Amino acid sequence: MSQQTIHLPLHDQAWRGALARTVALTGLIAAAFCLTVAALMLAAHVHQQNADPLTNGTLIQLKEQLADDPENEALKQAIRQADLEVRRRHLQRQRFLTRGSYLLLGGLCVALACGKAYWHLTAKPYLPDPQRLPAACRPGLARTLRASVGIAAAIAGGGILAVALLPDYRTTWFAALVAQPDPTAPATAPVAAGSLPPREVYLRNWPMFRGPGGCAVAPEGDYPTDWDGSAGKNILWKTRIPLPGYNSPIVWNDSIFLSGATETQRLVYCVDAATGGIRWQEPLPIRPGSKPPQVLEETGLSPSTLATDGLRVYAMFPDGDVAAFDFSGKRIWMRSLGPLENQYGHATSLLTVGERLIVQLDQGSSKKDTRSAILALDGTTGRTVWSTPRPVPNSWTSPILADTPSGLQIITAANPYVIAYDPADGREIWRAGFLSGDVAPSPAYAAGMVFAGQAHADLAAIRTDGQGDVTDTHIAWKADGELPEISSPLATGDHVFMVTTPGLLTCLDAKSGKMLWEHDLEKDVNASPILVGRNVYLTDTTGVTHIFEAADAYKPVAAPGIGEAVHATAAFSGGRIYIRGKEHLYCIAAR
Amino acid sequence: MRRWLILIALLSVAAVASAEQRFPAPEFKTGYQIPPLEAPAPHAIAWQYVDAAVLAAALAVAAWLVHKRRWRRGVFLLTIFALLYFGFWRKGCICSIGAIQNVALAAADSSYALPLGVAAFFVLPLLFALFYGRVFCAGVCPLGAIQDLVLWKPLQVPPWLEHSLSLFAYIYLGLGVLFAAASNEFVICRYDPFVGFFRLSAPGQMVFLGAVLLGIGMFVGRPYCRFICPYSVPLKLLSMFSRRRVTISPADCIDCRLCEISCPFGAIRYPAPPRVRGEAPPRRQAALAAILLPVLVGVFALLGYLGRGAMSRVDFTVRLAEDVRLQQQDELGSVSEASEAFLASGASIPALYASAARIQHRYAIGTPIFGAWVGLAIGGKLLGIALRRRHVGYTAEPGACVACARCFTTCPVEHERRKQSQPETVLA
Repeated sequence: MSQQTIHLPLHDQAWRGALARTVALTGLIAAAFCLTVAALMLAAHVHQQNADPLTNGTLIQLKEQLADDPENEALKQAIRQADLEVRRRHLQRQRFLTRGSYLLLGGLCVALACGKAYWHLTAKPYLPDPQRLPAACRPGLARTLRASVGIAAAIAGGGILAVALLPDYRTTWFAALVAQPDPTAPATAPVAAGSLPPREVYLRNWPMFRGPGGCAVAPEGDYPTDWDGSAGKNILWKTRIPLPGYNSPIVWNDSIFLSGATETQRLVYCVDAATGGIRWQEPLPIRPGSKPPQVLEETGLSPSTLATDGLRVYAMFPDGDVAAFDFSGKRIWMRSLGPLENQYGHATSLLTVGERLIVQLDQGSSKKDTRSAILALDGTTGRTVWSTPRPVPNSWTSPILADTPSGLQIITAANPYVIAYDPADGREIWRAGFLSGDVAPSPAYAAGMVFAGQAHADLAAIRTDGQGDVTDTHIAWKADGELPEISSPLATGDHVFMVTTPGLLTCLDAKSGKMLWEHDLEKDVNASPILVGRNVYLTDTTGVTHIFEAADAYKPVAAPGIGEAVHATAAFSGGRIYIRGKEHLYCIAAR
Repeated sequence: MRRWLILIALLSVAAVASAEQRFPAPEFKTGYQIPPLEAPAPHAIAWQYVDAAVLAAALAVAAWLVHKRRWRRGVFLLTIFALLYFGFWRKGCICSIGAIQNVALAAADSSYALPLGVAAFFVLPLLFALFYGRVFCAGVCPLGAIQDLVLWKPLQVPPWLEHSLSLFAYIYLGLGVLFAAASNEFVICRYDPFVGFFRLSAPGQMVFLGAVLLGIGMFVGRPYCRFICPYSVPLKLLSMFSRRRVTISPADCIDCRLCEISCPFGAIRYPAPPRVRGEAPPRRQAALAAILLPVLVGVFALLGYLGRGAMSRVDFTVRLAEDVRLQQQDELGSVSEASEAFLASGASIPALYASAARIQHRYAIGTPIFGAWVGLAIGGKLLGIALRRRHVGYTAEPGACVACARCFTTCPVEHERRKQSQPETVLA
């Protein structure tokens, strides 16, 4: 539409023209100024992209070097200097851009004012054309307006409908979840709080690695001492477990739980104790495109033994994924606590305290990494109840629960500390520092004393009534010699039994640390010894279980075998022994 | 020249956006204690009353300038004052437009106390609109002022486009009220396109939106006020019933047509065009529109109801609850940083779900009302078209007129009144 204004007489046309030219020139100068400022700002913006402390290439490179050489003070100083320089440039650029913005704003105001004034001074007078009506006066306007409003209404309605029906926007209705608990929803899992089975039921089962509390004492029962896997003697059943795993079986009433994994699949199994049939097997999804965790072949992809609190069974894998299942195999929740930095692969087993799942996450190559922690997760939801940092690097031990005279304590072992935590809030109770290197044997507990040690260090007996650092005050005795690399020690009130990986079995006096006897089994051993009545059961890697008396002298009782390689520790419950071979799970009971 | 200016405006967007970059904290553990993050102190309560008093005074001055003095230059000067005071000095807050959300929240949530200053900013312009038309828009609103000042060569927007686009303001108002009442989410403030200029700091997309609107505003008068501003809706509705209305001519219109293009905002009502052959008589059109009105209200209410789930996802709590549920149910690790942080915090998931359920319940009530409102706006628009009264002469459309007083300067009757032999030319 032509833009005209009222024609008005001008007293001094020449003066008006000169003014218009001046205004136009001023406007052009202002516009040129704005362009210059904008160009300079743009150039500064592009040129100093590297002045961001987060993305500066030099800084990143130096930091990467520091990661390889963390103690290099000169490198640290160089990074500080470079960081300071980058920050200085960063602030300079910000100041430059801020001042530029003000200049640009001022220039734009002048340019715009001149533009308006120029248009005002040079505007031609407006005279309406009698033959041409404005658009709003033309016939048929109402029809056009109705049509346009109709189209706008259709667009608005279509937009709302499209948003409502797009699959991506379909919403979970949380009112339904709150009103009717969904078994698949972690927060509303159909598990009644406070319905944990009584303690005697817990002690009757084999709910975690090395039995109740991890103390390696079998529940009462008439356990056989004689079986033969090849001939089937006293073998109640034998079930093939499809996926490999070094984790040990756990038992709750008539269910045995264990897991297996390959690089592409992870399964949690529930085996029927009565028949040996796999009652259910539930997968844990692997993130699409994720790389399998870096583990040693001896660690495998499923090394962590499961744990149960009698309501749910919990599983963990080396990438840090933790999941809970109910006893029907329904997954209740899953959390990713990884990735975990562990040079051989995370192999720590789980522990339950009431309805809390205790996860020991030791990682990093140095205790300065400050990445290690111990967590208590709510068994019903998986949420973190408490989390306590640990001053240790990666380890391969498993926590145990010690019922000490001063209360329940979670005992952990890693380089260099054995640390006790309060299960209620994760508070550290005491610590004793004497371990070193790669620590894999889990601690043992009996009669108010914790026993921990590993090869190339000492085995120490620690009283559990201390507070703070008890290294110098509560270590009753230390013993050196042939100490285990993988297998965990067994403590009774009177003895400490331990075995090295090559099979050297040692018995110490629990009170003094004096060695009572040693015996070479002449077979490699990965499993841990278990106290069964008055005997100790220890399975070597060929599948032979060495049964001997828990006494001051080595008194062998029997050495039955299953005829299959064994790396896991056997489970004991109700007079039955469950041994996981390389491929099969065996149930052994006196017939 | 025009292109240069647009280019410069866009470049300034990048500059301001860059200035928003935050400074990362040092990573070294050298014992240095990083000072705690400090937020600027909130405005003193007294400023609310000062602002409200200035607003009332400015509205009174605007009404006097428009209705009594009929003085365009005075309105222009008031516009500059409003821009400097409410815009650059007070940083665009409190703002009558944003106050809609406070009022909506106060109506929906009894635990929220509406500040008196905010209430004043909401009510005063509406009261003045009821008596004097949109004098708030004329020279008091800083958002209108900044657009008014950049207006360079106004183009006339075709009536059909004007009518269609103006529906968006009704939809935006409905959404703003819905989100504020159901989610405590102030989207009108979040997407205020000009507040970034007033504060010389804003997220990049806000500055970009403002720059685009100002760029358009150089050729289309006040695009935000006409097609987007949610506060324009109640102002428009109340202005239709205002006691004193803006008149182009101080006396009878002589139909000279000199004011025809003087309004850059399309607010001049022209003599009604003749009815075309085949067009239904006005009474019949009105009857049809009246019948259609409840149908539209019902249909759009249904659409709103269907969209309640999608709209509820605007709420952060609902999104977080969905992420947490997804993370817990689909077991694929972290779904979002928010869900990861929530789970790590140890907060109660059932409590989160309960909060999400409460918010969704509000949306289940609010979205059909929102839909009905949109239907009502469309139906009302159609009814308004049918009920357009036939008249002669040129008048200011009471709802659309922002009382800027530009048309006064073109009216020969007005000039006669002032006994001026050489009236001003149009000051766009």
